Amino acid sequence: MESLAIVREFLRERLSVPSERVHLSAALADLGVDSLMLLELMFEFEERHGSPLPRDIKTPKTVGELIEVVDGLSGR
Amino acid sequence: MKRRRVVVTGIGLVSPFGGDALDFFGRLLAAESAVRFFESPDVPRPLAIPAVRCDGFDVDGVLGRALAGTMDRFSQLGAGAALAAWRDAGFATDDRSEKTDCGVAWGTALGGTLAYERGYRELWLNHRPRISPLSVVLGMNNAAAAHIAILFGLANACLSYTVACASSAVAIGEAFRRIRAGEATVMLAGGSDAPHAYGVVRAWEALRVLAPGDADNAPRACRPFDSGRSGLVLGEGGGAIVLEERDHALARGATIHAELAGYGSTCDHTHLVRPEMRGQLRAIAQAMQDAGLARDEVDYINAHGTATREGDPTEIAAIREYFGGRARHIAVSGTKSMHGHLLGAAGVVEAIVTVLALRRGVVPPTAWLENVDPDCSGVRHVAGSAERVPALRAALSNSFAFGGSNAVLAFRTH
Amino acid sequence: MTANARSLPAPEELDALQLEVAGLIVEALNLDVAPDTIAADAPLFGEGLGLDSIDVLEVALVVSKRYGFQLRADNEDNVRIFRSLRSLTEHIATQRTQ
Repeated sequence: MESLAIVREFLRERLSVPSERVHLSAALADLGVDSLMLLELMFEFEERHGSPLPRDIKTPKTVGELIEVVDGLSGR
Repeated sequence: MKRRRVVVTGIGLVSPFGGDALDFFGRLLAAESAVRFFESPDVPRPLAIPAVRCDGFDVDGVLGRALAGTMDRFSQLGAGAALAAWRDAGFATDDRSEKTDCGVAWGTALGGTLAYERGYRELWLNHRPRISPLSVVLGMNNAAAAHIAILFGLANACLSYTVACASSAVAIGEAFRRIRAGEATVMLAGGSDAPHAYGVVRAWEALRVLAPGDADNAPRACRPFDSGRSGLVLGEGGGAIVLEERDHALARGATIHAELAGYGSTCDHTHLVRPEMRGQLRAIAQAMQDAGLARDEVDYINAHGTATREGDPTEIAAIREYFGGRARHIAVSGTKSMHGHLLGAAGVVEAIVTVLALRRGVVPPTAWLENVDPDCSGVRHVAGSAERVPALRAALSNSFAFGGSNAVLAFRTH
Repeated sequence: MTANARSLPAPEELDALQLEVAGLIVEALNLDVAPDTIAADAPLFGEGLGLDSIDVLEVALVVSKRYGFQLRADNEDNVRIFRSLRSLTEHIATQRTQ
């Protein structure tokens, strides 16, 4: 599943956020993703890719920035 | 300096019967048991025990899925109870503004053991290299209290008490002391536990204190004070009360359920599981003296009454020792016969039963009590059906824990 | 109708019983009204006397004790039995053993 779809599914299932609100420029904080939930969301990607994200990544603020991080590091 | 008085202005719980606190009380009056035969899907040996569950608790409906997902079940039960109590007290449940004179005192015996078990299963059985980042905040013992403080903007002390079966009675007592000392005006006090984790139940089974039962007879498994009693029934649950400084409550026109007049807290310091009459006696005496109650003013005692062979006679002996000739006139009921042993929630749920009994002048029975064990005689056991006690003046609620900690709460009709 | 139910007594007897039952309710619940002011057909729950489920249980307890039969809390007929003073009185009249 491509990354935006993964984010949308996670937010819909866990935080009841409708998918229409989840676009690339949306701020994660506005979607209910605080620092704890961001860890959970990143963990979701790590589980799907089977490898951990490095610890020194810059904290993403938007959906787009998050997808850049997870896609970039998985080599997509 | 006139001593500050503390009253109960809100009550709430998550009920195994699915309704609210008043519905719960009504069913206890009708001697209805919430105990059922619980079978878990664990392999290879599923759990199969009499238990009390809150399967009707609509977690997503009450808390919202987003919030519920950040909570282990013991926090969900706690938050559900806290919401009900806060609302009952007449406070807005969507007001998160900072309240520096309001705090939380929460009891839990086990904390987030279900979250721990999930984590262990993933790590050891499923060989996952890592577990969810939420694991720490799900499992930590203070999670319920923290969530409750966030829900209502409670900025005073937010403390969690782990004292086995006396956890929430202690939480209530310590919250009481804080208000009386002028350090807080309102305290949301209570407790919650979800004890049916696989390892937890197996551990309790190994102590040989769980009542046996099957699908047919599970409802009558817990039989305090009866000569045929066979042990306790583990239940999950959550309960909360709002304690408030009396003048503050009167000034805002709050409904006052009862007055919390005294608290006794002692330790047997003798044995890890075997109860000690003298330690319980000292706790009763302390609560009575703290409340300024005379022996003949107490009309009802909600007993700890777990239905273990040793525990029940020890408690009755302590009551008889303190109250002397008065003891046989005091109505006593062991309501764990119907709602089970709620561990961290036991103290608060039983306090709620005691408060409602005072308020309504009617005491619930000890269900399934057919033959009072001679070792447990000497008090007025309310057996079979509820009893009206007109002009109920004061009542005690007892919690005597593993480890030897004893907590007694003394309530007066307001 | 249970096997050992009686038939309804004569109207005067029923009226007297109704007053007696009204008195029991007032005493059991510490109500601030005189028994003879409780209208026979006024609802006991909600408006009317405004009783709640705990009140009903308390009434059931005193009725069971006084008239010698069990008014069980889980009886599905309870809504009908407790609808009004009259319906409660008629139920007692047919079920009492003392």
